[in-house]
Amino acid sequence: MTCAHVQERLDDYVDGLLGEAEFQEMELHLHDCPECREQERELRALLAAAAALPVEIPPSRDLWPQIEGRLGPRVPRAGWRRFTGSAWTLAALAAAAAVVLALSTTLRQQPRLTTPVAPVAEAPREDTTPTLVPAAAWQPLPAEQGYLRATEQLLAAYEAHRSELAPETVTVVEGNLKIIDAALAQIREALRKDPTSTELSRLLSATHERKVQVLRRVTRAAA
Amino acid sequence: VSFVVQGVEVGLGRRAASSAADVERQAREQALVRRAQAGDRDAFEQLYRENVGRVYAVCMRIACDTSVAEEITQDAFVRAWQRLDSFRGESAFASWMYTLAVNLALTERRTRKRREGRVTATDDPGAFEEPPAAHGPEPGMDLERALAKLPPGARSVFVLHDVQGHRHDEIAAMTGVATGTSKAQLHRARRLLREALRR
Repeated sequence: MTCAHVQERLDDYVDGLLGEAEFQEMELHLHDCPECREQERELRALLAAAAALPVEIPPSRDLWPQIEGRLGPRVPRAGWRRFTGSAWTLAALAAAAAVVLALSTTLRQQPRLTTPVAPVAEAPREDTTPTLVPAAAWQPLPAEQGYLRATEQLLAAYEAHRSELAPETVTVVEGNLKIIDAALAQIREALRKDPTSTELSRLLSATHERKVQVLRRVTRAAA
Repeated sequence: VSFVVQGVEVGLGRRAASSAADVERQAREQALVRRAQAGDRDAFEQLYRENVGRVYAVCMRIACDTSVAEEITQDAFVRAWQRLDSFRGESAFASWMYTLAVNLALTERRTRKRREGRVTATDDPGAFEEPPAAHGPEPGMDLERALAKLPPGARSVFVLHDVQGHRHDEIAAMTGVATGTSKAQLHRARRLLREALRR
């Protein structure tokens, strides 16, 4: 192992991401090379200093009065934003279209479901209210918690970029997320009636995966 | 029935401890969120007071400007109030709020860069890699000051990974960059910081 290779892999070494064989090679090299050992010492000192920085810093003044002055009554979101970017729109439209197509295909390919699942095309497309599923109707299975946490975080990222989106894009993306949520609710209902169905489990998992993929692509396109 | 999420869950980083006190805190937080969702501003103020330090810290380190960080922090809480309906409680409010703030800070950074061009912080690593001025290297440059001089992309990833304790897949989910890009930015940030602190 050369010094150049060590420099290249030092981050992964201190982060504990190397495989056993490469780790051993690194150890041997560092033992014999004072220059690389000094680089390692520097890096570890930097990481220790970074880890010691405060995670919380209070602002120099109380921001609440200004925040409170900007809080309007809590109402459901309405209205659409300005059109801004074709790349954004294309990416979001492509992602949404892919979801609808893939989901429709997947649902059609499940002939042995014990409880019929309505085609996604029957979902109420005209209702684009961004609150995707009412809280009372959202009763996930315990095994879905990981997906739900993931999508919630991705939705938070989406919220941060939502105002940059074209109205058409928001309509399509949120309309399709709503369709996915409607499909999830139906699959979940079917799974409650037939909890041993591996097909339903796979379908539920695949549908969650698609939702995660859509949100990741949308947030990535905005970056 | 079990499901595996492949590295998309975003939390508060490695520093988020898990204990009985945390469970109790989360239960209280959930109650506050429910009240805030019903329009209770006092409950939302409590959520603000409990989260503003962490939100402001990450905004400050990404923006490197006190007034901008304060503005983003305010925007983040106003946005959270407006979007509380979309928070279902499957993750901690602090985590949701933090992600919202990070994304706003990153968006503001991109907007400012487009608006003002290159100022003190720049995506051009050469600006940070220039040799010291004629009067010699600046002594006592601490980590926060060195951080502020990093290129914004590298700085954001370093803050999220090495200060806040997030994994690369979490950073990718938050920022929209590929995991490989996040790793490359971290490598660059660490190298530049070591060089800066060596001077």
